[in-house]
Amino acid sequence: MEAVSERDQTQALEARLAAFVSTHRARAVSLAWRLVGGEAAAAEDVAQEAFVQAWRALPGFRDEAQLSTWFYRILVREASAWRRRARVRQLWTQLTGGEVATPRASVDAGLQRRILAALDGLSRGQREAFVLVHLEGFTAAEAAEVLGMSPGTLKSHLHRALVKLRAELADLREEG
Amino acid sequence: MGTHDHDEARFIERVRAGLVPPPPSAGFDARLAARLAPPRRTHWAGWLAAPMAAGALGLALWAGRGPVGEGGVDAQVAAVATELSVDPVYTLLDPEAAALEDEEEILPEDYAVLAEVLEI
Repeated sequence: MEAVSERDQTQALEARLAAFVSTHRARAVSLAWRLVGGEAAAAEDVAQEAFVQAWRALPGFRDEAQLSTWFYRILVREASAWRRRARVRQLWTQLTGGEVATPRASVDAGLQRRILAALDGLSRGQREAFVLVHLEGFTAAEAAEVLGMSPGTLKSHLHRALVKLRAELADLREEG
Repeated sequence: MGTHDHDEARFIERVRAGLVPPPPSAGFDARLAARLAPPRRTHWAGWLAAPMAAGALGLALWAGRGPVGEGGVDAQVAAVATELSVDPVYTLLDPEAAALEDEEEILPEDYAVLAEVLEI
């Protein structure tokens, strides 16, 4: 009897996970892609790692909204860790006189490259706030919770990010 | 909406339009499913993984390489840094570390990242 109940529980968890993945899959990859600077393979790795961690944590979350916030927090951290590793590799290669691998092979459009470069120039907090709120459509409250910062700090990051991006991509302001 | 807000909204819209991510690749779901397979479906080879990992750790210790956090890898990273006369974390991770915001402070796990990069 106990074994059946355990199996039922596992099946229920798997069903929850399947629903969760199906709901968040596209957004997770999209968010990761924008955070890691347009590296498609890295974005998928980051999203997958976050899903794997969500699977492990699933039994501890009854509320899907809480799980979702937690999941995106993990994803943002994974993306940041990826950027950090990429930076270390790049600097290490430069220090040792090696050839720096050309980043973002998956990105060819000129405008896309310029926007990614401008995002690269932001601080971590500014970049994450801008991507979550302005590019991925998180509300300010959701983004603040995901990023673990106060709404005031988030607003400050958003403001600074916009000022920098508008200066960096001034031509985008004038078009149209 | 004021003119400034309108300009801002248009600018953001252009950035968003210029930065459209590709959809997940064809293999994404299959790879994720493989990673998410619950333990009860683990192939018999999975049972070998733990003893093999323990063996690898033992081998590493025998070769003089301790695990991270116990002075092994950290000590090697420090030794490499001394040889190169660079601070492994602050120099390698970000030369502009001083200008970083507080949430970008260098974390202890960066030593592990550096160890991974150095393949030690």
